[in-house]
Amino acid sequence: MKKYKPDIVYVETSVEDSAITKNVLSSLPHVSVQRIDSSTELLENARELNPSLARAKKSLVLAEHKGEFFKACPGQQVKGGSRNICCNYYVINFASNCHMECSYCYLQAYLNFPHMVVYANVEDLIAELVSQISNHPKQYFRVGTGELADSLALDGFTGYSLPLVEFFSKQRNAVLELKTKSNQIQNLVGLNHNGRTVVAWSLNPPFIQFSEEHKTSSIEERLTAAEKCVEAGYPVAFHFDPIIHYPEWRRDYRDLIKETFARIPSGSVAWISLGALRMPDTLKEVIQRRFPDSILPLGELIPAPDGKLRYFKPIRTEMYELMRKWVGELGSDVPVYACMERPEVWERVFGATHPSNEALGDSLVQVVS
Amino acid sequence: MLRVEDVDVEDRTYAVTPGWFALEKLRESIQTVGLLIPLRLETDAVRKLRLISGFRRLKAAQGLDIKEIPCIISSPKPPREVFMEALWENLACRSFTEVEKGVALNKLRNQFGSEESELIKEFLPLLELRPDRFHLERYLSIGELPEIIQKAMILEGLSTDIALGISRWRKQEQVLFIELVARYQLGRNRQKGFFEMLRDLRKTLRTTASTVWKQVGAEEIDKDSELSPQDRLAGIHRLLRAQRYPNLTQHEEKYRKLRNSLSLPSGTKLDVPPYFEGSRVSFTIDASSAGELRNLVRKSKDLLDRQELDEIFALL
Repeated sequence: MKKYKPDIVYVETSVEDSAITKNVLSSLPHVSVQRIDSSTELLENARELNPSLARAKKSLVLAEHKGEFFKACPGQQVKGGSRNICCNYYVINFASNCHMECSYCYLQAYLNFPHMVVYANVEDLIAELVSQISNHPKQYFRVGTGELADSLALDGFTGYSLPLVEFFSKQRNAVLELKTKSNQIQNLVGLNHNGRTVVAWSLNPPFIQFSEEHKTSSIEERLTAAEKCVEAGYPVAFHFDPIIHYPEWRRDYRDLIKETFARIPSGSVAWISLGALRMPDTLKEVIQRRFPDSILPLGELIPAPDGKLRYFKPIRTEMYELMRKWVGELGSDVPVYACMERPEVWERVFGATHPSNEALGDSLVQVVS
Repeated sequence: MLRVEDVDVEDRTYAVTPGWFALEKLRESIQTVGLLIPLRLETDAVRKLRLISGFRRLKAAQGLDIKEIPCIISSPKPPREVFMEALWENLACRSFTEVEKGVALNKLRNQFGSEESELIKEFLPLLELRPDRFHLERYLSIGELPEIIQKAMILEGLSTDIALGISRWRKQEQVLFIELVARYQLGRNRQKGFFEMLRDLRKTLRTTASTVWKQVGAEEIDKDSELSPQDRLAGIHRLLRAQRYPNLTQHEEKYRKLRNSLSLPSGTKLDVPPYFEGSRVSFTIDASSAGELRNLVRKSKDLLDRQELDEIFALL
């Protein structure tokens, strides 16, 4: 991973004393720091004042999250009368934006501001988790932090994983998933995780990693990090998402799955998700503008009922079927699910009536229970 | 009054309107009521008189062989000040085209020393544009487009996004696309559709739009004088789409064949979801009387055992 070093750190005065702020400032001693009462105006004006998204990401804002950290994954929402099968996931929005530059990243078209933001009031987050998770012992939660940011890319200087792993290690009805394209696992090794944290990597063949996932850790680095996490006793997970359709995709993804299971024992893999490339139309335009060499917009993408562009159904169905088959051949017991897919695609690929979101979520939680 | 020949018509220092702009209306007006608004010029010790505003009026007058024109001659001032006066004068009378806005911004930056922040804060609002870097860069690019593309924007209604898109193509490709827009008078949506298919195919096939045009057979259809322009355009669109979306078009063709072989009774309709996304097929009977409805239901019973229905569902 290309290491992130901000040009400036803005600190909201309300989070000056937070452990996260202290971690960041002590790890970045030579970076200029500006204290501000509120980041609202800074973030509102950031898009207009910054010539490029990549440059704007060099500003890191340590802010107080005033809303809710903990939410149901937006994939569960019904859009345009269309329902996709989702895995009943919950997200913790501990940060917004990512310094890595994946051409397909939806944050480019989703976030209203281009700066990197870390919500430093971790004490409020933990209090919210107590109220949402600990106080609902009969409900099972699969919770991830990789929705609006990479879970671990900045962990080297925020140390955010420490209080989270510690909190979840004590929960009987919840599991934390840290989803990343980095190899920043140094904080995790040695923690008492109690098997309640799953460390997950998003994987694509090296050709796609090199051409579409800029500034990320190589696939080799990601798998090495996964091996270390397995050694440290963590369950791990892999997300083949987005799966990209290009002439050599069959060979490349089969090789990738082979390599993954050659290095990671299937017994340590909690789950595997599959997701073919999908994007809102607005994102396609952003990709064409920001990444003119990207092959992604050249795929046979058609407008789907959920308002996103998706590969034409027979294409993505074949991708899922083969991926599932290859995973089955090498890691037969590992649960595989499709992320945010149409019910009819799910049924064709998995050969069964699609499960409810709750049933799918529960079946995945039980893997690590 | 001033003799037209005393004006340096080549000196376009203060012009924002390209020299090729259409002049018919203006010519007609001058012919009918004469030149009502004087041209503004500045003296120059060495050169001839330099035009500040009235470039189109001067050109129209020349075209009408008018020898003398009314004018106001100002004494020399700093060039930036003069340009600003011309800009304000023009903007007070009419809205600028996108090309003129682009030319004005380029002149301000390149000839009159405006800094980026000044362009964003002062001049973008003046030109009725959003004051941000994105719009500045966009309009500076428009101002620098080759003349052939700028002309197509003004004269053929070539959309701005596509104008910027084809500016990265070779000249031969630009001509091909502009001629397509002009020949078939393509509206914005159709321009977008054709542009996107050609852009994606030239990238996928690693070739030029002109080669794609030939390879898919569009050139042949385009020249087929036995077809109506509408049929030629539809044929070209079909060929490009089949190349750009091969799986989808094959699927559609299969569906069309299956549906046709069902020979649905007239008054009934079978529909699959758009792009085959979904799992439901709808069968509609449209009747204006109970008798007609009974008749259509009876005829539709013939479909019950047809294998094609299963095959249609298998396409979903």
